[in-house]
Amino acid sequence: MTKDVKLSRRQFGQATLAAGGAVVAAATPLRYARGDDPLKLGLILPYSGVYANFGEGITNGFEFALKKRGGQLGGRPVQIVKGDDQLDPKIGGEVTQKIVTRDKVDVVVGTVGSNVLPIMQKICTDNNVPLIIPTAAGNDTTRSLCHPLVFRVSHSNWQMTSPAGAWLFKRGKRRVMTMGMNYATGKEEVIAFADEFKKAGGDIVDQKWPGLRELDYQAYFADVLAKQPDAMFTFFAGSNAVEFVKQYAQAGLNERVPLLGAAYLTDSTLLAAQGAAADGVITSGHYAPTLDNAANKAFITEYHAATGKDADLNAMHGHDSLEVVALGLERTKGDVKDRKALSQALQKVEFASPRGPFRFSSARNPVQNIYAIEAQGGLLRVLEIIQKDVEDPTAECKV
Amino acid sequence: MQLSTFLIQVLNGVQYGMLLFLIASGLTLTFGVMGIINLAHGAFFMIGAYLVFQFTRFWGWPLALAYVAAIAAVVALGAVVERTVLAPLANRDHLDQVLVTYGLILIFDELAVIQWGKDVQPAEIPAFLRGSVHLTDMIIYPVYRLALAGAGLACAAGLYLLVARTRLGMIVRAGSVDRGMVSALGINVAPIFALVFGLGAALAALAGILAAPILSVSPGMGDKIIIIAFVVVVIGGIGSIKGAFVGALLVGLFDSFGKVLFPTVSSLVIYALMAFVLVWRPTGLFGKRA
Repeated sequence: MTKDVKLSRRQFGQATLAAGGAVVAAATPLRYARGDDPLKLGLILPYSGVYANFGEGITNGFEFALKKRGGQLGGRPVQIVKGDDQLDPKIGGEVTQKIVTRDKVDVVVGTVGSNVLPIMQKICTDNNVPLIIPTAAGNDTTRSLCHPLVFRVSHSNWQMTSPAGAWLFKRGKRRVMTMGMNYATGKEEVIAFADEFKKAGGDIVDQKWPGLRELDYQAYFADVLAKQPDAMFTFFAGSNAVEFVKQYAQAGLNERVPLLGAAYLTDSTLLAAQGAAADGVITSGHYAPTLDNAANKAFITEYHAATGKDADLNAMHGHDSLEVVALGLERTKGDVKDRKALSQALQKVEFASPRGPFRFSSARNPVQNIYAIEAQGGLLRVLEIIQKDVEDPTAECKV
Repeated sequence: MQLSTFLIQVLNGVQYGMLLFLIASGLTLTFGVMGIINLAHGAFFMIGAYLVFQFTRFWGWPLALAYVAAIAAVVALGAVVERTVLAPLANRDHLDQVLVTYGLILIFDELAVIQWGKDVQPAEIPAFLRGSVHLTDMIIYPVYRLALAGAGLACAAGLYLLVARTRLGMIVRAGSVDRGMVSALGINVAPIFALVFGLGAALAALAGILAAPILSVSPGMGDKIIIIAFVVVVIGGIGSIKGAFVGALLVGLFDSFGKVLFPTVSSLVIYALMAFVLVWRPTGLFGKRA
């Protein structure tokens, strides 16, 4: 029997590879005018796997923003080449290699998984192709690994949660327990919060790191009751966030130990699935669809009119990724060949994003506001600005 | 460790173990009788949960009716899959069957995305099982989880009676020892296979439906649990219902104590358990000897 199992596992691997080979590579010519030299954009995202809804939302926001600009960037028609990285570094690397070297795209937009990003970034920078990152938030990307052609549109992990440390202390919480998904992003987000909370004078009573494939958090909860912290600060995303928030409320913990976390915990796409379990959960983040500013109101209304869907964080990231490329190319008048000029043009991009004012730091990570956001009745409500113009430390970025 | 913490972790372990048993039992049953490692079991788990979502949210059916209808629909689907896809491959290599059932996962996951999208969907807890009970002054426990553990135990009892006390069970037991001999004795195995496969699918759907309010309804929700279910089946001995029960309890208990005692390596604990069992008994605790 063990032999069968072993063989089946190998076969499993081969099947996975075969599936990876059948890459989603749909070329979508938009408004192709004869004689025009189209600008080729590679859009490499997870379209399958646990973060598939991220890939879909980013793509919708990206295509919406492109359509709003008449399908043209810097006066050139646009051709999009899509690739599915499946949240897998190996497959992501193969897909990026193909799209960069065979399809010869001018700009790559990708990706979500911070596990896939390093290989994608290496292939892009080795080939001198600009990379616009819509989501992946590893701190290193815009610190020690920063590169003149790599621009991030979302946030760094540190940026999203570190302002919440001092803020929560100021709100009277002294003893806090943390829980975070046990991978690079979970660790960076939770540790950034914990460091600042301790600096402010607070006490971290315990830290738990459940695995990515965790199904049942109940076993962790006895300890929460035993230690009686003032609050629980967490990082969970996707279906793990749904499971954690539901189980936390089912165990009656939300009434005893207030639940907080990075904004992904109660992302607007998850609220329906979380239901009443999410009520009262407060997160720190750079965007909520209910944010009260002119750019966001226009974005929400127009996006809904164009797609029939409610805009969310992913759609905003997709939208802003396209805006960054568009505003950069406006400055270069559609020229992408002069990489130095392109890098400088992108660096100067500044606009009113749905999230609030957007500009790049010298390390090419956004400088942006971080908000306190509360979930209530299936909606997100912005309570206040935790900190204005938060900038990820740039000292480690030398180029 | 305090006594109350110890007891609550035992309860957590048993409760999680029963959830795992619900899905592992169908898996091991199918293998025991048909010799098929059915990777698509996780897809049936997912479809059960999604159908309840569809029936209650879009068609407004009451929850009880939705449960029954979803299980019936998955059984029907299982029977169709068995007749059209697996039966023609009955005499082929295990690897071919594994590949086919793996292909089924991809197809069903994709169909779920087409029908219900990539977002995570909600699942209701029946009204009478909402809320929580105080076990001690400090410790409160969700009623639904206790009900889930009860459902797992009831299923275990039902399967035990079916396998140990009925004619079908006798054939199932015989089949798990020597399938060739069962058909040589003049028993028409084709309808038995379809029945067992349908029953396995029903157990998967039931597990998915009952787990959905605790877990999440999303494409690929079965993929995450099917791996642990395989660990359970391998520990218990492939094909043995009793093994699946003991394996599920062991995995549940090791998992819940691992999270408290060895938090840094807790995700490894059950795999270490599996490795230990396989070294000690290569065919699992209750598997037939090689």
